[in-house]
Amino acid sequence: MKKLITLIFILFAFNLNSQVIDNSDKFENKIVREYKFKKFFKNLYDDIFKYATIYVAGDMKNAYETQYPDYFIRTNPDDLYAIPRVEDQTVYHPFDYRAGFGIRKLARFDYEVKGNNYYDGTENNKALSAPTAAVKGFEYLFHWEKERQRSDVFTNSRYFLRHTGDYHIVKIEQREVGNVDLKYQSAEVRARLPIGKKFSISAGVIARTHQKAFGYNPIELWLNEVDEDGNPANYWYTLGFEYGYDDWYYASTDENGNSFYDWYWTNPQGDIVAWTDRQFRDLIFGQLMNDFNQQRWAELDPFAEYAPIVGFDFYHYSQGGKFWLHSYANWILPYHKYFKGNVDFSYLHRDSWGLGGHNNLLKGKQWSDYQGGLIIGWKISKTLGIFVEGEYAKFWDSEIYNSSVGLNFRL
Amino acid sequence: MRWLVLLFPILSLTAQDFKSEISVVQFSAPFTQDSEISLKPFKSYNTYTFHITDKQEIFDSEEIKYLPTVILYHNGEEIKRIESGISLKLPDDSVKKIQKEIDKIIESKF
Repeated sequence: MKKLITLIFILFAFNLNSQVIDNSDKFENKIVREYKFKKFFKNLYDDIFKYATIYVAGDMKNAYETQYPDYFIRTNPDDLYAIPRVEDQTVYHPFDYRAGFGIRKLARFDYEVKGNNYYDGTENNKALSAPTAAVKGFEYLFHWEKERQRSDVFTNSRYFLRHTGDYHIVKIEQREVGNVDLKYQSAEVRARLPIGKKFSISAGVIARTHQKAFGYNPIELWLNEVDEDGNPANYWYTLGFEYGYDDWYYASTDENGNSFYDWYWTNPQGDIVAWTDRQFRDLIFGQLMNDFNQQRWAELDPFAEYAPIVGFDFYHYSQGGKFWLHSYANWILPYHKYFKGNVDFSYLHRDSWGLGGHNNLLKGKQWSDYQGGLIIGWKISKTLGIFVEGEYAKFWDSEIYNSSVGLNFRL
Repeated sequence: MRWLVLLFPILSLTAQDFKSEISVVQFSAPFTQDSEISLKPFKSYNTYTFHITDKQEIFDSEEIKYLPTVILYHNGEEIKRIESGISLKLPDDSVKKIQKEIDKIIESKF
């Protein structure tokens, strides 16, 4: 009996103990889970949202006005010699405006000064162009705005996301500038190798889009098309017919007995827009050519390509900001591969087009693109400072220069 | 362009790298190793631990009086100094104090 009681006691004790340990574990696990959960979201917040700024901003200003008003005289068609009416033809635009919103987390380099006490979406930080960042981790800008300039309304946007670490750079960017019809997207992944604390080199791959069909001029091809007899397949004036214009033959004789003839032109509404072929070509035909090209280009899908990219970044900022030097460069190597859009119309085949169309025997011509920047500031003394900033980019057939220099002497 | 190429190594050599950007530096000695704090919380920044036996000249130039001492630098400028005092023990909230100063620096960049 004593043994049995002892056994029950031991079992009870064992069960009791195991119960306590089990509960304790559960309790501990719950605390750990809660801690991990909170820590996860805190880290997420710190990595992504800490120091970010949400903004709504805009501006409004007077629209462009000509220095002098434009006038024209309206003549009574029934009485050409009556006093004509002078009419103001000046174009008066409503006010220009820009209104947008966004969220941004872009670190300034030490030499960059915050322009305003607030963000309004017009800031152009070096973080957006330099390959590396002033801080590691996530940086981003999501900006959207509507803009009106001289009565034309555009949409502009810029979406930028980058993660920088000791050994990597990952970047995605999309940009749309409405008034110059620019749409650009890029994504890049690079391995980064720091050499010392100030210098780093990087290499990876970049994918980019472009909309322009380089080398392909639809109107030139259309006008130069010939039939089997070598005659023009499309006479220039037939372009006017395509857009609803019409020409009308007329002949006349002047008081000296000289006779001459020409064609006058009417628009789709039947109004006379030019009295001669020459006048039609001077006044109307240019715009029709542009419209024709725009329509043909719009039929093409956007192009996308990828290529290897290498770059370097050097950043030095001395104690107290007396001297700084930031230089960077990117080289997109001539090994481009298109993965979207008709490659015959792409930049690779910019030289494959002639008056007879695309030369299918040509395999395309590779090219290099570059981007670089140099920023130097030197406060020689308390009163004297020299500042130089320059940026250069060559993407496809576009070259962008941007530079400024300043010598400041404070009295 | 040539002067630029020359400037790179010059800058690299003359600049005191351990004070560049955001740097957390622990000045210590082999006999105070047990009193050192872990610099792992600052792994996103530059971290260094110097022992007086190896880098005497830096201890002199930085006027280190107590071991261990932790100093936070930003672009060569001393931002925060935490000393152990005669107890040879750094305050318990050393990491917190340094992190607070780093947060201020980072915030000023945005």
